[in-house]
Amino acid sequence: MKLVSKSDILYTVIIGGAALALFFAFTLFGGSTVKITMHGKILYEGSIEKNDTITIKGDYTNIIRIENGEVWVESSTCPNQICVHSGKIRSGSIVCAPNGVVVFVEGGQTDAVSG
Amino acid sequence: MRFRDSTKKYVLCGVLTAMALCLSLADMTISSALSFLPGVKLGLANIVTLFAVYRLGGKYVAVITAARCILSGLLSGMLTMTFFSLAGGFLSLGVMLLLKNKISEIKLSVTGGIAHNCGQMIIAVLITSTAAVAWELPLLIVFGCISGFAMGIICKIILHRLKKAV
Repeated sequence: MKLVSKSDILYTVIIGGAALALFFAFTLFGGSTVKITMHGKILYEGSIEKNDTITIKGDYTNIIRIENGEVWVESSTCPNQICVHSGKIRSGSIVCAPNGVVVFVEGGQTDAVSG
Repeated sequence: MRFRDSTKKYVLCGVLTAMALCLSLADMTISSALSFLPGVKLGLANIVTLFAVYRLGGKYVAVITAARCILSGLLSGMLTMTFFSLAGGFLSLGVMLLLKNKISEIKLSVTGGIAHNCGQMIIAVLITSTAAVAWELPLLIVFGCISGFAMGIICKIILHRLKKAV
């Protein structure tokens, strides 16, 4: 039995490569404005260069920090802690699904994505 | 003969559900331990789904997938995750059933993995009402391709080995 054909590898590499290229394109054009939303409502908007600590209270409590051009969720009372494990970001987003909170960096090319 | 055939299918269905459930729980533990990017999983349960797509009919796989998603959500205590796995599971299942006889097992597994990522992202966008979270999708797809490829190989070996038994 032939396990893997050449076209299988080609198929995977082309799709994976295209997605990777797209990811780098998004990352390269990183944003400059931090926005925090809960269930789609904007709760915070500010420059990523301005240091700040924001506490978001909902079903759970998220503490979000902005420092040295990076944003991260410092602590959360939610059960899965995915947002805390997301680490520090300069572009893109951090999601706390249990609390309905999204932290994202907007600006430049990412506008096309965030609509 | 008909009766024996369907009994065999039901039993196989039960065994596969149990296996898929164990694999997805193990997957959660392994993935959260490795956790370098949230949402990235090995997709071990995909082996079972893929196997069932080839060996059982569409409705059997749908039952296995639904049972696996709901039970793993209840057992892990993370109900939000149930919606994520249901959306990912069924979108990937639908795509795989559609393309089953058109592309090879490994391509099918890769495509299913990508569909799974897309399904989960749709739920993430709906839950947060923020389109910006879709930013992470390309990176998820990269890992979806890799894991889909690996799971496809495993499934192909299993399908080959169990040619006579099942």
